[in-house]
Amino acid sequence: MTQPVTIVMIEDDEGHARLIEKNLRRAGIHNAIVPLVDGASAMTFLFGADGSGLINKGRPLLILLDLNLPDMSGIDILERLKSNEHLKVSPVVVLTTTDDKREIQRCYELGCNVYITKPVDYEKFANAIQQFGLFMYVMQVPGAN
Amino acid sequence: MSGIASSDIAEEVILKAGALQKAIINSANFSSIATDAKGVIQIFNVGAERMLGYTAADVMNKITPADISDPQELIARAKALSVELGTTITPGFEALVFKASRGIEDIYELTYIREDGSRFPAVVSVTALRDVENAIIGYLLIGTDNTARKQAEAAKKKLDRRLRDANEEIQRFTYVVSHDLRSPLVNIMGFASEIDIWRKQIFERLGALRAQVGAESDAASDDAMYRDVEEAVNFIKSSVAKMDRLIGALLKLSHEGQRQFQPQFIDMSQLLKSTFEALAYQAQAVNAKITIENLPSIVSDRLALEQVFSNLMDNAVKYLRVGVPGCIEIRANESDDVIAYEVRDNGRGIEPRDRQRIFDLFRRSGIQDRPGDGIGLAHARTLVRGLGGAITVESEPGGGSVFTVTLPKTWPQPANGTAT
Repeated sequence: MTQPVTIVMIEDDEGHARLIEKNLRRAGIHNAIVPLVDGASAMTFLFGADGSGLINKGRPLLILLDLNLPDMSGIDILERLKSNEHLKVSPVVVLTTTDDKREIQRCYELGCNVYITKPVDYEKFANAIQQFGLFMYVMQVPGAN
Repeated sequence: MSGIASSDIAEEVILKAGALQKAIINSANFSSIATDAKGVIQIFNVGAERMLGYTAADVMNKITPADISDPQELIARAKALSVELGTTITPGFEALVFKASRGIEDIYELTYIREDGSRFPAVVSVTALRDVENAIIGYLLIGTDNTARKQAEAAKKKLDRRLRDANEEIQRFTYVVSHDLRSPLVNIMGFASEIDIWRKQIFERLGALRAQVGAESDAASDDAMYRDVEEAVNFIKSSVAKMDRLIGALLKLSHEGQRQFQPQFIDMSQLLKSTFEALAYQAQAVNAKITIENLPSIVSDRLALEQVFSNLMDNAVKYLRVGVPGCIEIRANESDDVIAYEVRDNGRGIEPRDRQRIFDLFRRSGIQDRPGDGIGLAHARTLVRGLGGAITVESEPGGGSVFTVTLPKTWPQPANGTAT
């Protein structure tokens, strides 16, 4: 069974979430977006109440992940995702304001698929998200049609 | 005093009377321990009794000084001496007197173990005692109390650690704050830009509606409003962009503050020439000439000095007087242990009231007609201070400035050195 990709947006800043969504829509992305504003709700959504991740087995997810969350580090979520048998195949796009080299290195080491920084310059920001939206057109996600 | 000491007769009198020996033995402030050639204690003076808690009778003809010394230290000392002198030295009495037995003057720190088991840090001077044929008949170990120095060292270590911790905390704080401050800026910039997009849409629609109802005559006030909104949005955007630059600079400073300086030998003429090459294009564009004299070399941190002098030369080129050919000179004055490097220009100069301010973060001087955020000199001062130096300026408004960077010839690398 195949189904459309669901975008899971883990982002504590509602303004950022809106701006990301706007620019994805401008790039013509119409997939469902699930906004999650903190680490705890992200963990529950992704791994289910039992924490096994079975709930999302075979479901085509694309995860947008901010690293600076109020209640836990996005890096921890990334680590959990990439070491979970059901979720490790889901592409994770780290989308954050941090452009620290060590942080970028660490994320790729843990298996993040793309790392994008949010520039303050809005033209660049909008461009980055829209380019990423265009990239999503050609990207294959496991379990998606 | 030299009159008595140089008189053979006086010396003989003193020795015969045993006055010297008596004075040494009765001194309560120095521990004097004399041994035979094998190390067995023969004399244990009042000072030794007082400091170590044994009576002379407890130790004389019974033990060697090694028996009342920290055994771990003896092992370490024997090992170090074995390496230094290329021969095997056993971690006993031999380790205490080996150098003295070879005629090498020897003063070192030693921890004695008192009679009650407590430890007593001493600085010990060891001399071999010789007979008339120059054969060694024993050793004399004179010790002084090293407690105060040890305590001062420990206190210093503790202070250094606290300073380092505080410094690290500031760095972390700057880092976190910088990132957290950036996040809202993304929103302000983003939504200001979105408003700008809507502005165009709204006024287009307004124009179209006016056309529909035939009210084009009022369009002039729409134009004014359109420009007002545009102006407001632009102020928001340029302020956010500036704030972003300042935060970026803070981040950069905090990042560089974490870097440890690496002292190395630096050919300063070479360093300044290559630093200038990066500026050659700008210098040519404003008709500025740079002269770099032969400069004394230094042992310091290369990257830091590149940044300092690159900033000073960049400023010299940037703040010249319009229509006056720029003349920038770099020279140095050397004294015993410091070198003062001077960057001299004939530019616009700096008002007296600004001469301290310009070294403060985000502060600038004079007409603000050149790009910049007031970071360069603050950064330069931090680096120069970190390298144990100072940076000063002398200037004549309209007549040029001289920036002097005074640095130690050799920047020491303390064991606990942190870049601040």
